[in-house]
Amino acid sequence: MWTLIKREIKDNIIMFLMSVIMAGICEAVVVSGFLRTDVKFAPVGIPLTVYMVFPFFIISLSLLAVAMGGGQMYLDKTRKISAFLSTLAVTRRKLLSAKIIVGIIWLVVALLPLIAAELLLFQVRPRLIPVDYSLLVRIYIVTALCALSCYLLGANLVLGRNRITAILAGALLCLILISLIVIKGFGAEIMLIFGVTSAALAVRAWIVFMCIPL
Amino acid sequence: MSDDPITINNLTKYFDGRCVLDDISLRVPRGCIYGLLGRNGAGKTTIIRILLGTDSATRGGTSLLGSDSQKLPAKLRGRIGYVAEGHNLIQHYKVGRLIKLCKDLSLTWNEGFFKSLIETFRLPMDRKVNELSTGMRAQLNLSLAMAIDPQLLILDDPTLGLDTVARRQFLELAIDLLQKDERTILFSSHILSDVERIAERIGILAGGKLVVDCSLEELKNRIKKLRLIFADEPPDDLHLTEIINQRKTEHEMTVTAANFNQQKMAILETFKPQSITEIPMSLEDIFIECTRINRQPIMES
Repeated sequence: MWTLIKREIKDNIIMFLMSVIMAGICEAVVVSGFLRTDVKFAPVGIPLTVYMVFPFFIISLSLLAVAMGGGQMYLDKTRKISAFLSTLAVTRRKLLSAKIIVGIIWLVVALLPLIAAELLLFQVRPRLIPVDYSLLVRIYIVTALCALSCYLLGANLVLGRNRITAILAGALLCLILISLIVIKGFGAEIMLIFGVTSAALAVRAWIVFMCIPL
Repeated sequence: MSDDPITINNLTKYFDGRCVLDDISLRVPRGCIYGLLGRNGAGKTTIIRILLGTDSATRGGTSLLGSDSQKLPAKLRGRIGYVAEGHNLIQHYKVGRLIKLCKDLSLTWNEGFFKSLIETFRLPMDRKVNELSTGMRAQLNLSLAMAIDPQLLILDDPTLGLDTVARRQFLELAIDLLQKDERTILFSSHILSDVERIAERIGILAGGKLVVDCSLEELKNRIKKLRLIFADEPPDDLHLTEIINQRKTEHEMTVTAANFNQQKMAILETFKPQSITEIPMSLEDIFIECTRINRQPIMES
Protein backbone atom coordinates (compact mmCIF):
# COMPACT_ATOMS: atom_id res chain seq x y z
CA MET A 1 0.00 0.00 0.00
CA TRP A 2 2.82 2.39 0.89
CA THR A 3 4.28 1.93 -2.62
CA LEU A 4 0.94 2.85 -4.17
CA ILE A 5 0.58 5.89 -1.89
CA LYS A 6 4.10 7.08 -2.75
CA ARG A 7 3.35 6.62 -6.45
CA GLU A 8 0.12 8.65 -6.18
CA ILE A 9 1.91 11.46 -4.33
CA LYS A 10 4.72 11.63 -6.90
CA ASP A 11 2.27 11.59 -9.81
CA ASN A 12 0.16 14.35 -8.27
CA ILE A 13 3.02 16.45 -6.97
CA ILE A 14 1.82 19.49 -8.98
CA MET A 15 -1.49 19.45 -7.11
CA PHE A 16 0.40 19.28 -3.82
CA LEU A 17 2.52 22.26 -4.87
CA MET A 18 -0.58 24.21 -5.90
CA SER A 19 -2.24 23.60 -2.54
CA VAL A 20 0.95 24.67 -0.73
CA ILE A 21 1.14 27.86 -2.84
CA MET A 22 -2.52 28.63 -2.18
CA ALA A 23 -2.09 28.00 1.55
CA GLY A 24 1.09 30.12 1.46
CA ILE A 25 -0.76 33.08 -0.05
CA CYS A 26 -3.44 32.80 2.63
CA GLU A 27 -0.78 32.56 5.34
CA ALA A 28 0.98 35.64 4.00
CA VAL A 29 -2.28 37.61 4.16
CA VAL A 30 -3.00 36.36 7.68
CA VAL A 31 0.52 37.10 8.96
CA SER A 32 0.57 40.58 7.40
CA GLY A 33 -2.80 41.24 9.01
CA PHE A 34 -1.43 40.27 12.39
CA LEU A 35 1.72 42.32 12.02
CA ARG A 36 -0.15 45.53 11.33
CA THR A 37 -0.27 47.79 14.36
CA ASP A 38 -3.86 48.86 13.69
CA VAL A 39 -5.11 45.27 13.72
CA LYS A 40 -8.90 45.18 13.68
CA PHE A 41 -10.87 42.38 15.28
CA ALA A 42 -14.12 41.01 14.00
CA PRO A 43 -16.91 40.86 16.59
CA VAL A 44 -16.12 37.19 17.23
CA GLY A 45 -12.60 37.87 18.35
CA ILE A 46 -10.71 36.89 15.19
CA PRO A 47 -8.58 39.51 13.38
CA LEU A 48 -10.47 40.87 10.41
CA THR A 49 -7.79 39.83 7.88
CA VAL A 50 -8.07 36.22 9.07
CA TYR A 51 -11.82 36.44 8.71
CA MET A 52 -11.49 37.97 5.24
CA VAL A 53 -9.17 35.25 4.02
CA PHE A 54 -11.60 32.41 4.66
CA PRO A 55 -13.95 32.93 1.67
CA PHE A 56 -10.95 32.95 -0.71
CA PHE A 57 -9.44 29.96 1.08
CA ILE A 58 -12.65 27.88 1.04
CA ILE A 59 -13.43 28.62 -2.61
CA SER A 60 -9.92 28.01 -3.90
CA LEU A 61 -9.40 24.91 -1.74
CA SER A 62 -12.70 23.43 -2.89
CA LEU A 63 -11.97 24.10 -6.56
CA LEU A 64 -8.49 22.64 -6.16
CA ALA A 65 -10.02 19.63 -4.40
CA VAL A 66 -12.33 19.00 -7.39
CA ALA A 67 -9.27 19.27 -9.65
CA MET A 68 -7.28 16.92 -7.40
CA GLY A 69 -9.98 14.21 -7.31
CA GLY A 70 -10.79 14.58 -11.00
CA GLY A 71 -7.12 14.80 -12.00
CA GLN A 72 -6.21 11.65 -10.14
CA MET A 73 -8.93 9.66 -11.91
CA TYR A 74 -8.48 11.38 -15.27
CA LEU A 75 -4.74 10.75 -15.49
CA ASP A 76 -5.34 7.21 -14.36
CA LYS A 77 -7.91 6.68 -17.08
CA THR A 78 -6.03 8.30 -19.96
CA ARG A 79 -2.64 6.81 -19.09
CA LYS A 80 -4.16 3.41 -18.28
CA ILE A 81 -2.23 3.35 -15.02
CA SER A 82 -4.74 1.33 -13.02
CA ALA A 83 -5.11 -1.06 -15.96
CA PHE A 84 -1.38 -1.71 -15.76
CA LEU A 85 -1.15 -1.80 -11.96
CA SER A 86 -4.09 -4.19 -11.67
CA THR A 87 -2.09 -6.75 -13.63
CA LEU A 88 0.50 -6.75 -10.84
CA ALA A 89 -0.07 -8.04 -7.32
CA VAL A 90 -2.55 -5.22 -6.65
CA THR A 91 -6.32 -5.27 -6.28
CA ARG A 92 -8.74 -2.53 -7.28
CA ARG A 93 -9.56 -2.06 -3.60
CA LYS A 94 -5.94 -1.19 -2.85
CA LEU A 95 -5.71 1.10 -5.89
CA LEU A 96 -8.73 3.15 -4.85
CA SER A 97 -7.77 3.15 -1.16
CA ALA A 98 -4.35 4.56 -2.07
CA LYS A 99 -5.98 7.31 -4.15
CA ILE A 100 -8.39 8.34 -1.40
CA ILE A 101 -5.66 8.26 1.26
CA VAL A 102 -3.52 10.53 -0.92
CA GLY A 103 -6.53 12.83 -1.40
CA ILE A 104 -6.87 13.11 2.38
CA ILE A 105 -3.10 13.69 2.78
CA TRP A 106 -3.38 16.44 0.18
CA LEU A 107 -6.19 18.04 2.15
CA VAL A 108 -4.17 17.91 5.36
CA VAL A 109 -1.15 19.42 3.58
CA ALA A 110 -3.37 22.30 2.38
CA LEU A 111 -5.03 22.90 5.75
CA LEU A 112 -2.40 22.26 8.39
CA PRO A 113 0.08 25.07 7.65
CA LEU A 114 -2.64 27.70 7.80
CA ILE A 115 -4.09 26.31 11.04
CA ALA A 116 -0.59 26.08 12.57
CA ALA A 117 0.29 29.63 11.49
CA GLU A 118 -2.89 31.07 12.94
CA LEU A 119 -2.58 29.23 16.25
CA LEU A 120 1.01 30.37 16.54
CA LEU A 121 0.13 33.98 15.78
CA PHE A 122 -2.73 33.97 18.28
CA GLN A 123 -0.23 32.86 20.91
CA VAL A 124 2.56 35.34 20.16
CA ARG A 125 0.51 38.43 19.46
CA PRO A 126 -1.16 40.12 22.43
CA ARG A 127 -4.91 40.08 21.95
CA LEU A 128 -7.27 42.88 22.87
CA ILE A 129 -10.26 40.57 23.05
CA PRO A 130 -10.34 36.78 23.46
CA VAL A 131 -10.25 34.64 20.32
CA ASP A 132 -13.29 32.45 19.70
CA TYR A 133 -11.48 29.15 19.22
CA SER A 134 -14.68 27.14 18.91
CA LEU A 135 -15.67 29.22 15.88
CA LEU A 136 -12.23 28.71 14.36
CA VAL A 137 -12.50 24.96 14.88
CA ARG A 138 -15.96 24.90 13.28
CA ILE A 139 -14.73 26.95 10.32
CA TYR A 140 -11.86 24.52 9.72
CA ILE A 141 -14.04 21.43 10.11
CA VAL A 142 -16.57 22.82 7.61
CA THR A 143 -13.76 23.84 5.24
CA ALA A 144 -12.21 20.36 5.45
CA LEU A 145 -15.53 18.57 4.94
CA CYS A 146 -16.45 20.86 2.03
CA ALA A 147 -13.07 20.21 0.38
CA LEU A 148 -13.43 16.46 0.99
CA SER A 149 -16.86 16.48 -0.65
CA CYS A 150 -15.44 18.43 -3.58
CA TYR A 151 -12.50 16.02 -3.88
CA LEU A 152 -14.82 13.01 -4.00
CA LEU A 153 -17.13 14.90 -6.37
CA GLY A 154 -14.23 15.42 -8.80
CA ALA A 155 -13.28 11.75 -8.59
CA ASN A 156 -16.87 10.67 -9.22
CA LEU A 157 -17.40 12.97 -12.18
CA VAL A 158 -14.37 11.69 -14.06
CA LEU A 159 -15.36 8.06 -13.55
CA GLY A 160 -17.34 7.46 -16.71
CA ARG A 161 -17.81 10.94 -18.14
CA ASN A 162 -16.02 12.97 -20.78
CA ARG A 163 -13.59 15.71 -19.85
CA ILE A 164 -15.71 18.77 -20.70
CA THR A 165 -18.80 17.46 -18.87
CA ALA A 166 -16.67 16.58 -15.87
CA ILE A 167 -15.04 20.04 -15.67
CA LEU A 168 -18.30 21.94 -16.09
CA ALA A 169 -20.32 19.73 -13.77
CA GLY A 170 -17.47 19.70 -11.24
CA ALA A 171 -17.18 23.49 -11.11
CA LEU A 172 -20.95 23.96 -10.92
CA LEU A 173 -21.58 21.37 -8.21
CA CYS A 174 -18.57 22.60 -6.28
CA LEU A 175 -19.98 26.16 -6.25
CA ILE A 176 -23.35 24.81 -5.11
CA LEU A 177 -21.63 23.01 -2.22
CA ILE A 178 -19.74 26.17 -1.26
CA SER A 179 -22.90 28.26 -1.42
CA LEU A 180 -24.43 25.96 1.20
CA ILE A 181 -21.93 27.45 3.66
CA VAL A 182 -23.29 30.93 2.90
CA ILE A 183 -26.81 29.68 3.58
CA LYS A 184 -26.13 27.47 6.59
CA GLY A 185 -23.08 29.08 8.19
CA PHE A 186 -20.59 27.01 10.16
CA GLY A 187 -22.97 25.04 12.35
CA ALA A 188 -23.52 21.34 12.96
CA GLU A 189 -26.13 21.19 10.21
CA ILE A 190 -23.66 22.02 7.44
CA MET A 191 -21.16 19.57 8.91
CA LEU A 192 -23.81 16.88 8.70
CA ILE A 193 -24.68 17.83 5.10
CA PHE A 194 -21.02 17.70 4.00
CA GLY A 195 -20.41 14.52 6.01
CA VAL A 196 -23.33 12.72 4.38
CA THR A 197 -22.37 14.07 0.93
CA SER A 198 -18.79 12.86 1.38
CA ALA A 199 -19.92 9.43 2.55
CA ALA A 200 -22.35 9.05 -0.35
CA LEU A 201 -19.75 10.16 -2.90
CA ALA A 202 -17.12 7.84 -1.40
CA VAL A 203 -19.51 4.87 -1.58
CA ARG A 204 -20.41 5.70 -5.17
CA ALA A 205 -16.76 6.09 -6.20
CA TRP A 206 -16.01 2.75 -4.53
CA ILE A 207 -18.84 0.90 -6.27
CA VAL A 208 -18.08 2.41 -9.69
CA PHE A 209 -14.33 1.88 -9.47
CA MET A 210 -14.77 -1.76 -8.45
CA CYS A 211 -16.63 -2.61 -11.65
CA ILE A 212 -15.62 -0.19 -14.44
CA PRO A 213 -13.39 -1.48 -17.24
CA LEU A 214 -9.84 -0.35 -16.54
CA MET B 1 -13.68 -24.36 -9.13
CA SER B 2 -11.64 -26.29 -11.70
CA ASP B 3 -8.01 -27.27 -11.23
CA ASP B 4 -7.17 -25.84 -14.66
CA PRO B 5 -5.29 -22.50 -14.46
CA ILE B 6 -7.64 -20.91 -17.01
CA THR B 7 -11.36 -21.65 -17.12
CA ILE B 8 -13.96 -19.83 -19.18
CA ASN B 9 -17.62 -20.82 -18.75
CA ASN B 10 -20.32 -19.67 -21.17
CA LEU B 11 -18.72 -16.27 -21.54
CA THR B 12 -20.80 -13.70 -23.37
CA LYS B 13 -19.87 -10.06 -23.85
CA TYR B 14 -21.84 -7.28 -25.48
CA PHE B 15 -20.40 -3.89 -26.43
CA ASP B 16 -23.03 -1.23 -27.22
CA GLY B 17 -25.59 -3.89 -28.06
CA ARG B 18 -23.16 -5.81 -30.31
CA CYS B 19 -22.28 -9.35 -29.30
CA VAL B 20 -18.49 -9.68 -29.29
CA LEU B 21 -18.21 -13.00 -27.46
CA ASP B 22 -21.03 -15.49 -27.71
CA ASP B 23 -21.22 -18.26 -25.12
CA ILE B 24 -17.55 -19.20 -25.07
CA SER B 25 -16.32 -22.05 -22.92
CA LEU B 26 -12.68 -23.00 -22.67
CA ARG B 27 -10.25 -24.73 -20.33
CA VAL B 28 -6.48 -24.49 -20.47
CA PRO B 29 -4.77 -27.31 -18.57
CA ARG B 30 -1.71 -26.81 -16.39
CA GLY B 31 1.57 -26.60 -18.29
CA CYS B 32 -0.08 -25.98 -21.65
CA ILE B 33 0.84 -23.29 -24.18
CA TYR B 34 -2.49 -22.23 -25.60
CA GLY B 35 -2.55 -20.19 -28.80
CA LEU B 36 -5.63 -18.01 -29.15
CA LEU B 37 -6.18 -16.92 -32.73
CA GLY B 38 -8.71 -14.67 -34.36
CA ARG B 39 -8.98 -11.81 -36.81
CA ASN B 40 -8.86 -8.18 -35.68
CA GLY B 41 -11.86 -7.49 -33.47
CA ALA B 42 -12.59 -11.18 -32.97
CA GLY B 43 -12.52 -10.69 -29.20
CA LYS B 44 -9.10 -12.07 -28.21
CA THR B 45 -8.14 -9.02 -26.14
CA THR B 46 -11.64 -8.86 -24.64
CA ILE B 47 -11.32 -12.45 -23.41
CA ILE B 48 -7.93 -11.64 -21.89
CA ARG B 49 -9.20 -8.45 -20.25
CA ILE B 50 -12.14 -10.33 -18.72
CA LEU B 51 -9.78 -13.09 -17.56
CA LEU B 52 -7.59 -10.51 -15.82
CA GLY B 53 -10.59 -8.75 -14.29
CA THR B 54 -9.94 -5.43 -16.04
CA ASP B 55 -13.29 -5.82 -17.83
CA SER B 56 -16.48 -7.63 -16.88
CA ALA B 57 -18.55 -10.26 -18.66
CA THR B 58 -22.14 -9.65 -19.71
CA ARG B 59 -22.91 -13.31 -18.91
CA GLY B 60 -20.89 -16.29 -17.83
CA GLY B 61 -17.69 -16.33 -15.86
CA THR B 62 -13.96 -16.86 -15.97
CA SER B 63 -11.41 -17.99 -13.44
CA LEU B 64 -7.64 -17.86 -13.19
CA LEU B 65 -5.64 -20.19 -10.96
CA GLY B 66 -8.87 -21.43 -9.44
CA SER B 67 -10.20 -18.02 -8.43
CA ASP B 68 -12.98 -15.92 -9.98
CA SER B 69 -11.33 -13.36 -12.30
CA GLN B 70 -13.39 -10.50 -10.89
CA LYS B 71 -12.26 -11.28 -7.33
CA LEU B 72 -8.65 -12.27 -7.90
CA PRO B 73 -6.72 -11.74 -4.66
CA ALA B 74 -3.36 -9.94 -4.77
CA LYS B 75 -1.40 -13.10 -3.97
CA LEU B 76 -2.83 -14.80 -7.09
CA ARG B 77 -2.38 -11.71 -9.24
CA GLY B 78 1.26 -11.76 -8.21
CA ARG B 79 1.64 -15.18 -9.81
CA ILE B 80 0.28 -14.07 -13.18
CA GLY B 81 2.57 -12.41 -15.72
CA TYR B 82 0.88 -10.29 -18.37
CA VAL B 83 2.17 -8.74 -21.56
CA ALA B 84 -0.43 -6.38 -23.00
CA GLU B 85 -1.20 -5.64 -26.61
CA GLY B 86 0.51 -2.35 -27.45
CA HIS B 87 2.56 -2.70 -24.25
CA ASN B 88 0.60 -0.16 -22.23
CA LEU B 89 3.09 0.38 -19.48
CA ILE B 90 3.05 3.65 -17.56
CA GLN B 91 4.23 5.74 -20.46
CA HIS B 92 5.43 8.88 -18.64
CA TYR B 93 7.64 6.96 -16.19
CA LYS B 94 11.34 6.45 -16.67
CA VAL B 95 12.27 2.82 -17.23
CA GLY B 96 14.14 2.68 -13.92
CA ARG B 97 11.17 4.06 -11.97
CA LEU B 98 8.75 1.65 -13.63
CA ILE B 99 10.99 -1.30 -12.82
CA LYS B 100 11.28 -0.18 -9.19
CA LEU B 101 7.51 0.20 -8.94
CA CYS B 102 6.89 -3.27 -10.39
CA LYS B 103 9.56 -4.75 -8.13
CA ASP B 104 8.08 -3.09 -5.02
CA LEU B 105 4.60 -4.30 -5.90
CA SER B 106 5.57 -7.87 -6.76
CA LEU B 107 5.41 -10.79 -4.37
CA THR B 108 8.43 -12.55 -5.89
CA TRP B 109 11.13 -10.94 -7.99
CA ASN B 110 13.83 -12.93 -9.72
CA GLU B 111 16.52 -10.23 -9.80
CA GLY B 112 19.16 -12.40 -11.49
CA PHE B 113 16.86 -13.47 -14.29
CA PHE B 114 15.52 -9.93 -14.71
CA LYS B 115 19.03 -8.46 -14.93
CA SER B 116 20.00 -11.03 -17.55
CA LEU B 117 16.93 -10.05 -19.60
CA ILE B 118 17.66 -6.33 -19.28
CA GLU B 119 21.25 -6.91 -20.37
CA THR B 120 20.12 -9.07 -23.28
CA PHE B 121 17.66 -6.44 -24.44
CA ARG B 122 19.99 -3.51 -23.55
CA LEU B 123 17.17 -1.43 -22.10
CA PRO B 124 18.12 2.15 -21.08
CA MET B 125 17.10 2.91 -17.47
CA ASP B 126 17.16 6.70 -17.79
CA ARG B 127 14.76 7.03 -20.69
CA LYS B 128 11.02 7.49 -20.42
CA VAL B 129 8.87 4.55 -21.49
CA ASN B 130 7.17 6.61 -24.21
CA GLU B 131 10.58 7.42 -25.69
CA LEU B 132 11.30 3.73 -26.27
CA SER B 133 10.57 2.04 -29.58
CA THR B 134 7.66 -0.42 -29.74
CA GLY B 135 10.14 -3.26 -29.79
CA MET B 136 11.93 -2.02 -26.67
CA ARG B 137 8.61 -1.49 -24.89
CA ALA B 138 7.66 -5.07 -25.75
CA GLN B 139 10.97 -6.29 -24.37
CA LEU B 140 10.52 -4.27 -21.18
CA ASN B 141 6.96 -5.53 -20.77
CA LEU B 142 8.09 -9.11 -21.30
CA SER B 143 11.01 -8.74 -18.87
CA LEU B 144 8.68 -7.35 -16.17
CA ALA B 145 6.21 -10.19 -16.72
CA MET B 146 8.96 -12.83 -16.59
CA ALA B 147 10.73 -11.38 -13.52
CA ILE B 148 7.93 -12.39 -11.15
CA ASP B 149 8.45 -16.08 -11.97
CA PRO B 150 4.86 -16.39 -13.13
CA GLN B 151 2.89 -19.56 -12.72
CA LEU B 152 0.64 -18.35 -15.51
CA LEU B 153 1.74 -16.09 -18.34
CA ILE B 154 -0.80 -14.25 -20.48
CA LEU B 155 0.57 -12.74 -23.64
CA ASP B 156 -1.70 -10.57 -25.77
CA ASP B 157 -0.11 -10.29 -29.19
CA PRO B 158 3.31 -9.84 -27.55
CA THR B 159 5.42 -9.98 -30.68
CA LEU B 160 3.53 -7.16 -32.40
CA GLY B 161 6.10 -4.56 -33.44
CA LEU B 162 9.14 -6.73 -32.80
CA ASP B 163 11.73 -7.36 -35.48
CA THR B 164 12.57 -10.92 -36.53
CA VAL B 165 15.52 -11.30 -34.16
CA ALA B 166 13.64 -9.93 -31.15
CA ARG B 167 10.66 -12.11 -32.01
CA ARG B 168 12.83 -15.19 -32.10
CA GLN B 169 14.47 -14.20 -28.79
CA PHE B 170 11.05 -13.74 -27.26
CA LEU B 171 9.76 -17.12 -28.41
CA GLU B 172 12.83 -18.89 -27.13
CA LEU B 173 12.39 -17.17 -23.77
CA ALA B 174 8.76 -18.23 -23.61
CA ILE B 175 9.73 -21.83 -24.34
CA ASP B 176 12.49 -21.56 -21.74
CA LEU B 177 10.02 -20.37 -19.17
CA LEU B 178 7.58 -23.15 -19.89
CA GLN B 179 10.23 -25.77 -19.40
CA LYS B 180 10.43 -24.67 -15.75
CA ASP B 181 7.92 -26.48 -13.57
CA GLU B 182 4.35 -26.62 -14.83
CA ARG B 183 3.82 -23.15 -16.18
CA THR B 184 0.87 -22.28 -18.36
CA ILE B 185 0.90 -19.75 -21.19
CA LEU B 186 -2.07 -18.17 -22.95
CA PHE B 187 -0.74 -16.62 -26.11
CA SER B 188 -2.81 -14.59 -28.55
CA SER B 189 -1.21 -13.53 -31.78
CA HIS B 190 -1.72 -12.51 -35.38
CA ILE B 191 1.57 -14.10 -36.37
CA LEU B 192 0.54 -17.66 -37.02
CA SER B 193 4.07 -18.96 -37.51
CA ASP B 194 4.84 -17.87 -33.91
CA VAL B 195 1.80 -19.69 -32.60
CA GLU B 196 2.64 -22.74 -34.69
CA ARG B 197 6.13 -22.70 -33.24
CA ILE B 198 5.21 -22.70 -29.57
CA ALA B 199 1.53 -23.55 -29.04
CA GLU B 200 0.33 -26.99 -28.08
CA ARG B 201 -3.36 -26.21 -28.19
CA ILE B 202 -5.17 -23.82 -30.48
CA GLY B 203 -8.37 -21.85 -30.10
CA ILE B 204 -9.78 -19.93 -33.05
CA LEU B 205 -12.33 -17.17 -32.52
CA ALA B 206 -14.63 -16.21 -35.36
CA GLY B 207 -17.86 -14.26 -35.26
CA GLY B 208 -17.82 -14.20 -31.47
CA LYS B 209 -17.64 -18.00 -31.22
CA LEU B 210 -14.78 -20.30 -30.39
CA VAL B 211 -14.90 -22.33 -33.59
CA VAL B 212 -11.79 -24.40 -32.88
CA ASP B 213 -10.46 -25.67 -29.55
CA CYS B 214 -8.11 -28.64 -29.85
CA SER B 215 -4.44 -29.55 -29.97
CA LEU B 216 -2.38 -28.24 -32.88
CA GLU B 217 -1.59 -31.79 -33.95
CA GLU B 218 -5.25 -32.75 -33.93
CA LEU B 219 -6.22 -29.62 -35.84
CA LYS B 220 -3.76 -30.40 -38.60
CA ASN B 221 -4.77 -34.06 -38.75
CA ARG B 222 -8.49 -33.56 -38.68
CA ILE B 223 -9.02 -30.61 -41.00
CA LYS B 224 -8.62 -31.61 -44.62
CA LYS B 225 -8.95 -29.66 -47.80
CA LEU B 226 -9.79 -31.76 -50.87
CA ARG B 227 -9.88 -30.94 -54.55
CA LEU B 228 -12.50 -32.90 -56.48
CA ILE B 229 -12.38 -32.88 -60.30
CA PHE B 230 -15.57 -33.75 -62.17
CA ALA B 231 -16.12 -34.55 -65.84
CA ASP B 232 -19.18 -32.28 -65.86
CA GLU B 233 -20.35 -29.54 -63.55
CA PRO B 234 -19.82 -30.30 -59.83
CA PRO B 235 -23.02 -31.47 -58.10
CA ASP B 236 -25.14 -28.99 -56.19
CA ASP B 237 -26.29 -31.54 -53.66
CA LEU B 238 -22.92 -32.49 -52.24
CA HIS B 239 -23.50 -32.28 -48.51
CA LEU B 240 -21.21 -33.47 -45.74
CA THR B 241 -21.34 -32.81 -42.06
CA GLU B 242 -18.79 -30.36 -40.63
CA ILE B 243 -17.97 -28.69 -43.94
CA ILE B 244 -15.97 -25.57 -43.15
CA ASN B 245 -15.77 -24.21 -46.63
CA GLN B 246 -16.89 -25.30 -50.08
CA ARG B 247 -16.18 -23.65 -53.42
CA LYS B 248 -16.77 -24.74 -56.96
CA THR B 249 -15.67 -23.71 -60.42
CA GLU B 250 -16.53 -25.19 -63.83
CA HIS B 251 -15.27 -28.74 -63.23
CA GLU B 252 -13.71 -28.46 -59.85
CA MET B 253 -14.86 -28.33 -56.27
CA THR B 254 -12.74 -27.69 -53.19
CA VAL B 255 -14.11 -28.88 -49.88
CA THR B 256 -12.63 -28.12 -46.48
CA ALA B 257 -14.06 -30.33 -43.77
CA ALA B 258 -13.40 -31.03 -40.13
CA ASN B 259 -13.09 -34.53 -38.68
CA PHE B 260 -12.48 -35.98 -42.10
CA ASN B 261 -12.61 -39.81 -42.13
CA GLN B 262 -13.22 -42.82 -44.38
CA GLN B 263 -16.99 -42.45 -44.15
CA LYS B 264 -16.83 -38.92 -45.49
CA MET B 265 -14.45 -40.08 -48.21
CA ALA B 266 -16.94 -42.82 -49.17
CA ILE B 267 -19.73 -40.23 -49.39
CA LEU B 268 -17.60 -38.05 -51.67
CA GLU B 269 -16.85 -41.06 -53.89
CA THR B 270 -20.58 -41.66 -54.45
CA PHE B 271 -20.61 -38.42 -56.49
CA LYS B 272 -18.13 -40.10 -58.85
CA PRO B 273 -15.47 -37.45 -59.21
CA GLN B 274 -12.67 -38.11 -61.69
CA SER B 275 -10.13 -37.50 -58.96
CA ILE B 276 -9.88 -36.55 -55.29
CA THR B 277 -6.62 -34.98 -54.12
CA GLU B 278 -5.72 -33.60 -50.72
CA ILE B 279 -4.35 -30.04 -50.64
CA PRO B 280 -1.76 -29.67 -47.84
CA MET B 281 -2.73 -27.00 -45.31
CA SER B 282 -0.54 -24.85 -43.08
CA LEU B 283 -1.93 -23.36 -39.87
CA GLU B 284 -2.39 -20.12 -41.79
CA ASP B 285 -4.55 -21.92 -44.40
CA ILE B 286 -6.59 -23.57 -41.64
CA PHE B 287 -7.00 -20.22 -39.89
CA ILE B 288 -8.22 -18.52 -43.07
CA GLU B 289 -10.69 -21.32 -43.78
CA CYS B 290 -12.00 -21.35 -40.23
CA THR B 291 -12.48 -17.60 -39.95
CA ARG B 292 -14.00 -17.08 -43.38
CA ILE B 293 -17.69 -17.83 -42.85
CA ASN B 294 -18.17 -20.16 -39.94
CA ARG B 295 -20.08 -19.21 -36.85
CA GLN B 296 -20.53 -22.68 -35.36
CA PRO B 297 -17.91 -24.74 -33.52
CA ILE B 298 -15.89 -26.75 -36.01
CA MET B 299 -13.61 -28.73 -33.76
CA GLU B 300 -13.68 -29.28 -30.05
CA SER B 301 -11.96 -31.94 -28.01
